[in-house]
Amino acid sequence: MTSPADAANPTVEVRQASKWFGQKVAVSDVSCSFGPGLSGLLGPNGAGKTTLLRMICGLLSPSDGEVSILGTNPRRDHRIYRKVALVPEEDAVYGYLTARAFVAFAADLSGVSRNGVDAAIASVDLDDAADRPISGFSKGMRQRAKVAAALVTDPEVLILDEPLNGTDPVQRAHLIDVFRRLAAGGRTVIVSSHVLAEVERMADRVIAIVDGRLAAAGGVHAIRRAMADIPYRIRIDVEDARKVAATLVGAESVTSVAVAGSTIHIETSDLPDLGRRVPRVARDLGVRLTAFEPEDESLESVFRYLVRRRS
Amino acid sequence: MDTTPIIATTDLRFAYGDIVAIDGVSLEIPPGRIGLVGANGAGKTTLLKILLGVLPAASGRVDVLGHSVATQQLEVRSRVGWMPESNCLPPDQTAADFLGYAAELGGLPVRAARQRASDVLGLVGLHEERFRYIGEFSTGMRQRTKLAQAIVHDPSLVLLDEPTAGLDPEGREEMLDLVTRLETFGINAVISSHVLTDIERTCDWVIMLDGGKVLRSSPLTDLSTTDEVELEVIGDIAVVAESARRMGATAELIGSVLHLKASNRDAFEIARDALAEADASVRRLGARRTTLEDVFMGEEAQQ
Amino acid sequence: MTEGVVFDLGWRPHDGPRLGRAGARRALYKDGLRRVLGLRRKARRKVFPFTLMAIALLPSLFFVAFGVIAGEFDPTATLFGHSQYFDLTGALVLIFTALASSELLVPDRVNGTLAVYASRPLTVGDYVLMRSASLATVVFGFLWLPHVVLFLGRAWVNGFSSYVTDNAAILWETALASVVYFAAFAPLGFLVAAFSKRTSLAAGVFLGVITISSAATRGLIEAGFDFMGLFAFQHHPGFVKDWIMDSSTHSWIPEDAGFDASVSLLVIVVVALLSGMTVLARQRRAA
Repeated sequence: MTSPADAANPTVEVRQASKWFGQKVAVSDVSCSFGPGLSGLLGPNGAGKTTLLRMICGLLSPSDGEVSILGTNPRRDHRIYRKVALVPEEDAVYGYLTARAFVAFAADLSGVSRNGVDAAIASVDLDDAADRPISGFSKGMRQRAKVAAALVTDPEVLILDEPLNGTDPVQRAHLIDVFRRLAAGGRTVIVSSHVLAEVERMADRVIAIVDGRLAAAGGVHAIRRAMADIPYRIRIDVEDARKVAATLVGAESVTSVAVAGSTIHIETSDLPDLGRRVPRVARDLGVRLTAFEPEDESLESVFRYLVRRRS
Repeated sequence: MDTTPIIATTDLRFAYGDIVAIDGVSLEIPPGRIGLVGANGAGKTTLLKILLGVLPAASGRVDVLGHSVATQQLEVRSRVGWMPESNCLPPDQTAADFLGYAAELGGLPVRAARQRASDVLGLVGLHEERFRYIGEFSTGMRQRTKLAQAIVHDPSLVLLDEPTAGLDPEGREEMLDLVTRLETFGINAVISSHVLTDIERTCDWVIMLDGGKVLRSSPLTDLSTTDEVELEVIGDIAVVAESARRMGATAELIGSVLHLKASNRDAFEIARDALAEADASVRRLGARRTTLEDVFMGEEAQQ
Repeated sequence: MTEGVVFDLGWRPHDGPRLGRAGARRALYKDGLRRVLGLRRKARRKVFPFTLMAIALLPSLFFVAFGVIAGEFDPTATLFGHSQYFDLTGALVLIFTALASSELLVPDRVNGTLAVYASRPLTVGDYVLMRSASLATVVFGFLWLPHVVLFLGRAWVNGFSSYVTDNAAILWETALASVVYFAAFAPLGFLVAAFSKRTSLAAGVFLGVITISSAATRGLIEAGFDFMGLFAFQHHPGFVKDWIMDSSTHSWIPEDAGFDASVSLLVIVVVALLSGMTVLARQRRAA
């Protein structure tokens, strides 16, 4: 049985990889893999995310363990670079080039034909601005140009480091769409981002790195479930809340109940059981149920728990 | 409670040469936390600069905190703080030193300035680090220092431009928390951000700009509730949908979310009964809320 | 890795006095002084300004000591008399102004600190004025202090009160000359700094332009283009100084080109005004 840290049909494999810079251990014994679909990579600043990404791209070699892309060690076989594209956080300094020229340049650098340039530009919706110099672009447009440059080699693995930085809501929604389409088309897309609400929308699974180590992996709900020692917190809005609460507190899995007006804040270790009870109790008491909202199932809450646990 | 608008503009116009950045903006904004959203180039930063008097309005009237920006610019500036998106901190001064300076620049006497600098640095979470040179700071520390300099002179209004940019999840969390607390300090805030979920979380009023015009300016709550019910279950949702339809609701499944609407009965009652009858385990139930993003995209689509 | 912790220490609104524009200006002025002298910054920032000040001051202290020990001080001695002293300090001030003017304008613009000033009760005019005031204070101190030392030293040796009454004119003459030197160099320094992105570059360009202007104009005058004497920026203040103090310590280029010292003064004033206006406009655009 594979661990949730491993993907089915992996294209990128990280096996017990560590990286240290002198005394500082940036990445410590991380084992995980990525496959077709969209994976989110998260972690606090300085936690080792960027180092891990660079090892995956072959920009760094691991001090220990191994990293392979499509079965090949990227440090040994340079041809694999064509299959991996990195869209870095920093700005590339090619302001004087037009977007089209920049993407064409990227194609030349990677040794692929320029046939894919127009398609790459179209896929990020830069057709209108493609022949203007990048120096005049807004941050969001620059991001899109970088993504287009990465796509021109038609890579199997696409790695995006904070790709939504500086983009406005419309551009964000559009880019998220682009990434999901690419992932759905069979590419391995890895997105590293600090805006967890968006990672949650985009990604099928997430990998969390804290203090250089793998802290969690898998689907967001599944990770939450794996934190069995932390009870779920739910908010319930219902008429006659006190009566409903009194009934619910009798359930064994319920660990805490708090009532405020017509809102019940409840903690339980068995979410499915509570989910079954509440509508029944409400129906039996004949009261109106207007909300059943998990309060700590979001990626943001899950992440907070992960970071808190390490001490 | 004071309900005089903190910002009032009448037919404001501004152009950079031929490019019209602000095109007839009339606003009346109540105290509180105001979100400012819009596409890149919609005029957000231009508007903020006009409020500060950094850019002169080509025509129209701007009043901030009851003072006209055109004629009482310095009055306005001594009551307003600004947290710009770009860097504004000198690398060769310590945070404590710079904050004291920033406070004195705001018109505080030297001793009070030093004290407030110390207070505010503690408030934003900079402790021993405050005696280090700003050039050595991480992004998180810089953002906090930027916020600190914006509030150190006890302004009545702060303008925040992308306050969470570059921060990691913890940092974002703390910054949003701080921003929310500004109200308890008696400081109004205008927050310009691309991350709509941040605005949803911290603001009670939202202004949407597009092409230099105001698409809408209204309380956040106006946007959200509908009479549709959204439902997610652990397990088979089709059974629940069936039950709901039998009870007279229209049930539409979008992704893993069931949307229920009923004309003759209470949709919530139907939801409850359908769940109980199907013996399903509810994962989430609530009134369908339109998110800020829905509204934003909707307005954009109409343009 | 935790970045920090946010405590709720409670907010205390400021109920005390608010000094408004005046307070802001004062803060700006003091910051300018600190910036120029390297105070409250890393130690190496103090090295340059204090070394230059020492070089400026030391000869005067030395000559006073020498005079006191020797028991006499010939007031008419030309070796390091008041007028000659300016030839030394003038050169030092040129170097100092190059660095200080760029230090006062470039970092604020490049680091974006102008944004902080934009949310304070200050106008662009206030900014330029106060920066100039900070530089003026230090430069004036640089230039005039040695003269005060020399004056007092000589007075001490030569029967205090009689010396003072006979020679009081020296004090205001040297003060005036100091102002002239400031007016000749600082505006140009600010002009270069207002358009530079790096402090060292600004200083270098300024110094380069000024020194080259001397060599170039001399050459052109010898070739017959006398009017080029107007562009000998480095020499104008010295020429005016000689006029004020009724001395002749150097063959000044404008003099050789046939101009009167009053013309040099006019050039200084015009250049100062033009530079000032340009700097103001530039700073306005940068805000």
